[in-house]
Amino acid sequence: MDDIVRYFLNVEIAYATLPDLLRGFGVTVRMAVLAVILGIFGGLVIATLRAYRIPVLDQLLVVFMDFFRAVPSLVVLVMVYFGTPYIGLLLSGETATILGLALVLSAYAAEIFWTGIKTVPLGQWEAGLSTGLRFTEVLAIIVMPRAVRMGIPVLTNRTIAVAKGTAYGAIISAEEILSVSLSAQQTYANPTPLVLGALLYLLVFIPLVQASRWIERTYSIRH
Amino acid sequence: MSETQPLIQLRGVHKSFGLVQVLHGIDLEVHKGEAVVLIGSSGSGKSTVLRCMNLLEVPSSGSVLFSGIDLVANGSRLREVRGKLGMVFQSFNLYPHMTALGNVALALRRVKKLPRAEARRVATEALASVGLADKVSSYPAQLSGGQKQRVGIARAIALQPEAVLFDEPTSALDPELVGEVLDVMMRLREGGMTMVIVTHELSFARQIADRVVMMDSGRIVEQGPAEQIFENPTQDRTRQFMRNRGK
Amino acid sequence: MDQFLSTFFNIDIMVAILPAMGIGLLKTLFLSAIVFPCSFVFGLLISAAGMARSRPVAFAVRAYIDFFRSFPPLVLLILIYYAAPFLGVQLDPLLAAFVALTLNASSYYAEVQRSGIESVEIGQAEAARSTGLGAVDTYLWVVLPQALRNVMSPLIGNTIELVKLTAIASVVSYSELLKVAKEMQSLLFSPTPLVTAALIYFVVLWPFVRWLSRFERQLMERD
Repeated sequence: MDDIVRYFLNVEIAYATLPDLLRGFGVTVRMAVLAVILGIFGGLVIATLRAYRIPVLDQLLVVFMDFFRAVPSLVVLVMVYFGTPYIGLLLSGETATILGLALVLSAYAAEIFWTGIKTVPLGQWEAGLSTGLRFTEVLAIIVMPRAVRMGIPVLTNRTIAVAKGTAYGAIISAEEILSVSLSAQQTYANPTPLVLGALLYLLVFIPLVQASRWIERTYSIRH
Repeated sequence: MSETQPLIQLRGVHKSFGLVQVLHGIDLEVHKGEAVVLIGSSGSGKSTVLRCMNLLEVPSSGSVLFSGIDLVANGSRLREVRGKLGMVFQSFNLYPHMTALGNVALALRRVKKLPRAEARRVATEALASVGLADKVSSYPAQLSGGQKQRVGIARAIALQPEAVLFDEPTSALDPELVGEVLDVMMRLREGGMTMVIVTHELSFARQIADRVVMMDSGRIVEQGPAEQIFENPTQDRTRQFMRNRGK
Repeated sequence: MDQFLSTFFNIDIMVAILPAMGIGLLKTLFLSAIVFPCSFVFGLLISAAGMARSRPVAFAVRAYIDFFRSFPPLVLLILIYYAAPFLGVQLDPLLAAFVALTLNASSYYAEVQRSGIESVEIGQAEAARSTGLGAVDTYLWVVLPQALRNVMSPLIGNTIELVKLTAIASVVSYSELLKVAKEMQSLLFSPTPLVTAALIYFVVLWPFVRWLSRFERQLMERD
């Protein structure tokens, strides 16, 4: 029992590593927020573009969406980080993480919003267009709000899943919680920093999961 | 035990759902070979009384006995008793992922532990007896409402129960499909089956019942032979009920 | 353009690494194949336990599910792998990955299975019980088949995610597809192996992703 405390709940080491871990925490949160904002925005853009059914572009967007949903997030991050130097771009681990996760989330969000758009009854379109509104106006004012609303429960789940991918940033040198915990663990030859890091993650994600369940419930009943 | 021991007995049964008391001190007996029909307006508690008999509803107080066995006290014998007490539901409750044969055979295999071939035989016979020999391989989705309910009846009688409980068996059916179900029920009665029926079909009740029990607001208002209840009810409430239904 | 292709899609390299990648893929599939049944069944046990009338048990189940849904799987894996030696246990990478992935996946499956069970109307169980069927038989033959049929789409979705998640095993040196790709990449100074790995994931999982879109569309349309 003493061993367990000494190894996993070592107060001194915890105290010593806390500042670094908190900085890592900040990086994690920053990456998550940016990736989510970019991802959802990107998804909206893609879904909107698909609504216009532009011939070649539409096919490319479909491939984009399928690709980033079939390939694991970690693989995407690694590809972005190690691949971009070859086209002359040098991204920091953090930036590569944000970019990679945003790409993945935008693919999922696009699928969700696009499905939402498609399931808005044709009658809504006809009503809007017959009163003289242009396609874009109908899309923006009548259709999109409904599509977005329908997609919210599914989207929250997906968003949290992608946000947890910020941990992958550790593999590509982003200085977030996991990466800080790992190096601290190696420095002190003690897994307490890992335990502390895990607790920090739980601190972020348990409330998010609760919130998402609340959101799912609220948005499923009304319509 | 005396030979006039009732098959099913409710003694002093009270039932509340949360703060709402639905049954107030019900005393009811059903003897072997009897057909008892429960009538009353919606909310009178008649379905709840029926569902207490096989303990799908557990009384808040009072006792439920089957052949003298106290069901609330002897939880371990409940499965055994349920195998002897069939139930037919208003919304059929057929298993959608099994054929008519599968629906009827499931309990035969898992409860009566019959081997597969034997279970198939018994199930097929049961379905034939309700006129659905040609529908054994059909799924519930392919059947009409009347056919579904007849499968429900077959499922109940295949276990050779000592009594069958019917909870508004025709209420969910289109009018033209009601007759086929009532015919099956009448044939069952003629075969001597003990039946407890909750129904709104008053003319049918009159035909089939030995005894009619009139309920209102969770109490038994009066009970007696079908003729007497329909022709000469002693209670105002019963008279009012009959009048409202154009009897 | 040519240079882009020869850097990222170098045919010679692709051909050369294909055997090694093939073995990596097999290991990916192997890990998925052993985690899936265990986490699925474990999820069934958990969701069944969650139906218990006892308050503390139901609460414990809820807590378990929320906990492992909130815990980033990579962090869980690393915690298990690096912490185990301090408890005197030397864990094989495959075993550590198996444990981490099973714990994670089982919570997702349990959540989906639970909603599936709740979607089966109570009359089904009542009918079964009224014919004398016991609780276990009612669950196995009447409730569960319908429950799983009702939540086919999220179940498949979770399984796709599971296969993708095996990529994290590369971090603890289990030689699945991503690990092999990264080794090749540093060996050959080329991003082609990473691109090849992404393409392999895409080819393997794309049919399922497409099929799932169709399913999800039906789901949202039904509402």
